[in-house]
Amino acid sequence: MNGDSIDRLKEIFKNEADELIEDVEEVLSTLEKDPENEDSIDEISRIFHSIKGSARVVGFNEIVLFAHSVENILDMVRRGELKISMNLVSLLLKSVDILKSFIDSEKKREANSVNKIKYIGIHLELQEDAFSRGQDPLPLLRELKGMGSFHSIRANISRVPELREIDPTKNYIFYDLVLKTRRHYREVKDVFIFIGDDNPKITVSDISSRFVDGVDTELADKRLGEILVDEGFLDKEKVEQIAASHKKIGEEIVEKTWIRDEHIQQALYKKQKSRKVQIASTLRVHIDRLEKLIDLIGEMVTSVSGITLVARESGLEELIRCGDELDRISRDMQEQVMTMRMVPLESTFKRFYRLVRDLSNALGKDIEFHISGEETALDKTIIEQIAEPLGHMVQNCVEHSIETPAERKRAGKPGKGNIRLKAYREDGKVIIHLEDDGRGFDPREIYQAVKPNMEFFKGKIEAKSIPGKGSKFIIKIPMTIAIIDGMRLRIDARSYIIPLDNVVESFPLASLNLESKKDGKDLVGLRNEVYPLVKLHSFFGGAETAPGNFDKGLVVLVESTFKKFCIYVDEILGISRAVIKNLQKNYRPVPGIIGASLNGDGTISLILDIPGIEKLMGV
Amino acid sequence: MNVKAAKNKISLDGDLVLENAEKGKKLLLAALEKIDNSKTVAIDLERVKEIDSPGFQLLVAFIRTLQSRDIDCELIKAPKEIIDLVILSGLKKFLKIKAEVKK
Repeated sequence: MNGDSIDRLKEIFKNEADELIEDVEEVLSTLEKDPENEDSIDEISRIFHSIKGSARVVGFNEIVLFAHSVENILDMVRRGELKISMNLVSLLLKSVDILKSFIDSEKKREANSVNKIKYIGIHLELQEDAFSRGQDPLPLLRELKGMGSFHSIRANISRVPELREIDPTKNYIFYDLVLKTRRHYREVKDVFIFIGDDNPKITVSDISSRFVDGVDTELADKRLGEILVDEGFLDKEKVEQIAASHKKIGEEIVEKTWIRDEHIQQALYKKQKSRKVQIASTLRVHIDRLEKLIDLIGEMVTSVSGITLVARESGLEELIRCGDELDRISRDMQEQVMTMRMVPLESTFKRFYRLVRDLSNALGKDIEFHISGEETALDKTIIEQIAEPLGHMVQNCVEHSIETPAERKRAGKPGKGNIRLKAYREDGKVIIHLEDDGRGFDPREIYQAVKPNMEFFKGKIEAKSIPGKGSKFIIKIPMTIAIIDGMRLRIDARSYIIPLDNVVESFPLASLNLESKKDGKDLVGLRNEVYPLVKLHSFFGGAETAPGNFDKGLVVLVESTFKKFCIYVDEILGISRAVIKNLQKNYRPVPGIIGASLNGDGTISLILDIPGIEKLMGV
Repeated sequence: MNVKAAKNKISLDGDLVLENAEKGKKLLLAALEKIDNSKTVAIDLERVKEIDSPGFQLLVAFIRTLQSRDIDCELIKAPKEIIDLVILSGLKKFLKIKAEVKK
């Protein structure tokens, strides 16, 4: 068994032992109340035996010996040589305390151990003028390798120009590597001590939690193309080129002889291995507990923002540095915890196979359904909401767009029709493409059916249908709905947030053409377009803006699911990331408001629901 | 440093390091002119004693230029120290090493 496996077993033992000790305490309390209960003695005996067995496997010999002694006492009780008494129960409880202290000391020893194998992720990107300053990444890489071994290393050469254009005194190459080492994280970080401070593009992070038995569990969630790029087999540009087509990446690159088939097999093997390990090391946590954790971390991030603000005002450098570090860690923590809500689209996509099969059989159509990118992960709540509209769209492709084989042949097409469903990540969003090669259909037919769900998760949909050629839908979805990037603004004395996805641009009102209609509604003219202007001052219970102040404000052009309109605001306060607090759960549903967010200064901003406002204000 | 070029082979001699990187670029550019449209070009490193990051970058740029002409490259007769550096720097998959290791 290798070092990683032992470390993992030790970890499992310590967690299990904690649970078993809790069980023993519970059984002992039963025994105390009912000393005649022989089952309790058997149960305690079984637990101590189990602890002994597991402790032996991981080499915790003191625990083995101690558990064995307790077992001997319990055997005496079972043989009738020792009677159950209050003293015996007290002795057993004392034994549990001793066992706890053994396990605690093992935990402490482990925590202080410098010998545990760690995986340190390093991004090494020296500045362009590094060579002229006497810096070279090679000696740094050599020093790092001296600390252990490279689990992986990728030299990114995409910035190296062709020979005629290269300036040989400039640095173009940067590196991403994973160092496997028993050294402390700090020691690894210290390798960059002389160049790191003025070089923000060097990052060192302990990513050991990603690795199980030496396997990177993150590979399971990566697409084949990403792994091939990471492994240095393929350029990112080539992967993007393939992604734009509809072909499967493996087939396409072998066809183009960009890389050898064995390298693809190697990457696929790594992905599968990672998937197996990931499944084996999965822990089920109830979604409520996870959401509570997300809420708490969200509050922590907000509090930390407050601390960093105070630190900056204090002017104390050390405090500012600590505050910034704390801010970075808490945001990393938040990103990590958000990924726990993510699940792959696989099961959603695969359920459509059956839908297409059954429908096409019933309608006498011959359809091949292609899916790709099903490993793309999305927030669990969004996945639940996307299944229905997506199913509706697939159904429409089968029913209305794809023709019968006879109709297709008459139109000069192969008898078999195709529906393609593809997902991928782009610019922090998940993109879902659905297209078919049928006769096409009026995409407006599906809008009403999918609109409520799309609005729920702030998705956007583009649809195109070319008569005779087919239809195409592109759905853009945020990866999570628990956090948004938003524009914070003031309307009257209150602070609001507009999700950045809805913001198109902003202008001083005075720079625009304003037209007031007889019904009291205002219109704003902007680059030959006219947009309705929405004033939220009175709507959310504030005072109507005095006409004299009106011209001093700003206008934010926003985009709802299908329409654009303008919102009048008094001041734009900035751009910030907001953790959405559910108003429905904590107060009651408020039309036009998605939720609330705690600001760094302790105040609260309401997050505007742009499609909701569109409806409420009758835009 | 010096570079000898033939139709499908170039031989490097000396140190491929920052100090003579400008000269290296000129020599490699001149070598490019002599290379015909062979399918593969061999880069002989037998006489290269030292190489650093600027040196590797020149090699990468040289190979990229040939790749843009659909010419593949391979490193031949590379001394063990150079091979170790290629592996250390994660460039093994790009700088394809071929032939025996010089002892």
